[in-house]
Amino acid sequence: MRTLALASLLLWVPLWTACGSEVEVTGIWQTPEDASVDLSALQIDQQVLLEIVAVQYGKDVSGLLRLFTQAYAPSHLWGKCPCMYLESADFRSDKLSFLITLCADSPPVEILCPGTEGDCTVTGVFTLDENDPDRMTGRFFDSEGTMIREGIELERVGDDNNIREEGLNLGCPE
Amino acid sequence: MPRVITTLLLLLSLPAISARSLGADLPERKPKKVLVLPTVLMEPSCESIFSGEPRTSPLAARLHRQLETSLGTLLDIQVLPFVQARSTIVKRRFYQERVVVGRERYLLAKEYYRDLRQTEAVENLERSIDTLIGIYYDLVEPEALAEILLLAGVTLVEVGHFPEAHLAFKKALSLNPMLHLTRGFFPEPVERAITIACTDLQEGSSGLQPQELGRYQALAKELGVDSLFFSRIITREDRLFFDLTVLEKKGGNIAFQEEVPLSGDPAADGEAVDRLASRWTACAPFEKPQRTVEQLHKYLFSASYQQMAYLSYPTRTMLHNMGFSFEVGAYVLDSFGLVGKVQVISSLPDRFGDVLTPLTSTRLILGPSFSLTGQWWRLSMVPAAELHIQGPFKTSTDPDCKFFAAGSAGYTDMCDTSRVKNYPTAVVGGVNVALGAQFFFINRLFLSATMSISSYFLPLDRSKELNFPVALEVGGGVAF
Repeated sequence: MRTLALASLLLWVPLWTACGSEVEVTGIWQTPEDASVDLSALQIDQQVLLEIVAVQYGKDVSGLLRLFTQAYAPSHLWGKCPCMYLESADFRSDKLSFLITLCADSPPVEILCPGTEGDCTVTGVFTLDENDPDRMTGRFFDSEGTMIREGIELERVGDDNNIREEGLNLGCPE
Repeated sequence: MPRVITTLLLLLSLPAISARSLGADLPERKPKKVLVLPTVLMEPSCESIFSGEPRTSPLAARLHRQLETSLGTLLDIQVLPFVQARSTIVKRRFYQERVVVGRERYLLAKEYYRDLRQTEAVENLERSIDTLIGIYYDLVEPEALAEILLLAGVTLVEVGHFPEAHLAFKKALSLNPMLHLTRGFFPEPVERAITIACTDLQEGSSGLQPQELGRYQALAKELGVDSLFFSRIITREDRLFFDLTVLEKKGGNIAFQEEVPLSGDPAADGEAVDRLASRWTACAPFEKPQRTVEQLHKYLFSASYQQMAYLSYPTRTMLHNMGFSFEVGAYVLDSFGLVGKVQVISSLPDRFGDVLTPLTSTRLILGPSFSLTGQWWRLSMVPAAELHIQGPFKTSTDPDCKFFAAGSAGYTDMCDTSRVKNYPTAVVGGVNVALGAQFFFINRLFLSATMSISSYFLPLDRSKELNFPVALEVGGGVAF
């Protein structure tokens, strides 16, 4: 009888916890259009708009990082290497961490990974604003852990539904 | 083993079958439980209160016994012996304490009366009477209460409350008709008031006062009897009559009141009482027997919403499901039936999205139902066999396999398909135990709630990652 009572409790506990007000990173995050990011450290020779598409599953995160030139529109995608996958991404203690693998022939590779045969990766760490869960600030580190850019501000402009409506769950087409 | 079960089932069914065949020719009615209060022998004349010696006659006790015996021989009548009822009253909670309180109030009132403080005496007498009447002391020690009522009547006359005094004397005389007083002991107005009360009591149509009906109805409820019999022997024009009044618990009204002349011959008087009892039973209202749910409804159909969770699951958090359950039941015996269920359920998204394609499954459950029932409720336990057809589904803990749509560039580039686990359609079997409750709210309609757990062990060679579903069902149904 006690087992049955425990089982019945167990039945409902996850439902309650699932309904908790846990802060999540799921959404479309963009730099404001009037505050484009200087990524000259990555040999990106112009100001770019940065977009992170992330969906959270527990602590695990999956998603994309895209770069735009003047506006968030397919026609304004950065010409050289506009879309990268978030790899080994997770969200812990209000910090979104991920790796991105730079395109082999893109200019940053020559700076960050000179003479490297394998993939060249950059680590991104973004921290959610304590007061506003729809804002986060981040930094990029090179493969040796040296910070190459900081103070990148992103704001949440869409949720999981927007991601699927816009087909962002299809990945980075060739 | 099957032979033992068959024999057991047959033995269980015998009482029901025999009861049905025996009762087939008789009108269905609930047996009536009755209580005969002691027969009161009224004085032939009110003058005798102040003259002569008290009468003692075995007639009242004999006719009381006769009435109990006569009623006991009637069909569907159960007599609660007065001795037993009296014992029940005495054993009630706080009875003894209240007797002490009531008696002490009386003694205090007597002191006040002796000190000529009638107002305080009346106050204490009223409280004493209220306390003692409240515990039915008049049925246990009628003469003792009559003594208190007599003093109350005397005091009330002295303070000028004549109507209340009249009622007190009347009640005192009805409790102790053998009451004898010495003429001249009380003042003349008191003697006159007693005589008037006596005359009123003798001319009254019954020994029951209207304000007492509610109290006796409450007594009937407490003792669990349907009818209360009040009888008295009265004298009219030098002839004795046996006067019978019956109070019905249901409605709290007097349902029967008649009298028969007494001849003085014990055998003839016994027959007269017997006839009176038969006359009552001919017109007495009988209730239909209250039948349990199974007796009323042999078959049932219900539909329920179901919330279910597996206690053993292949995901990182508990796998919840929702669905619907349809149940049919047939009760072949009281408290025993067969129940079958068909349930269709589908998995809900788990917290981490580990289930990539939802699991839809069907459960077939069949087993005996053992139940406890009342007139509007049934509690049941169903140990059953279960066949569970689990549809195909996929799980993964890789976030990239969850986020990117299958077949997309993202899925191809990022999802490690070796981390996607495919579960083909599976048929598993086991046992299911359900505890349920049904509440009938409108005749055949009921609301139901059931909790169940299953354990799968067939096929024996299968590693069962998905097992021990615990379910809660809430729904309603119809019985017929």
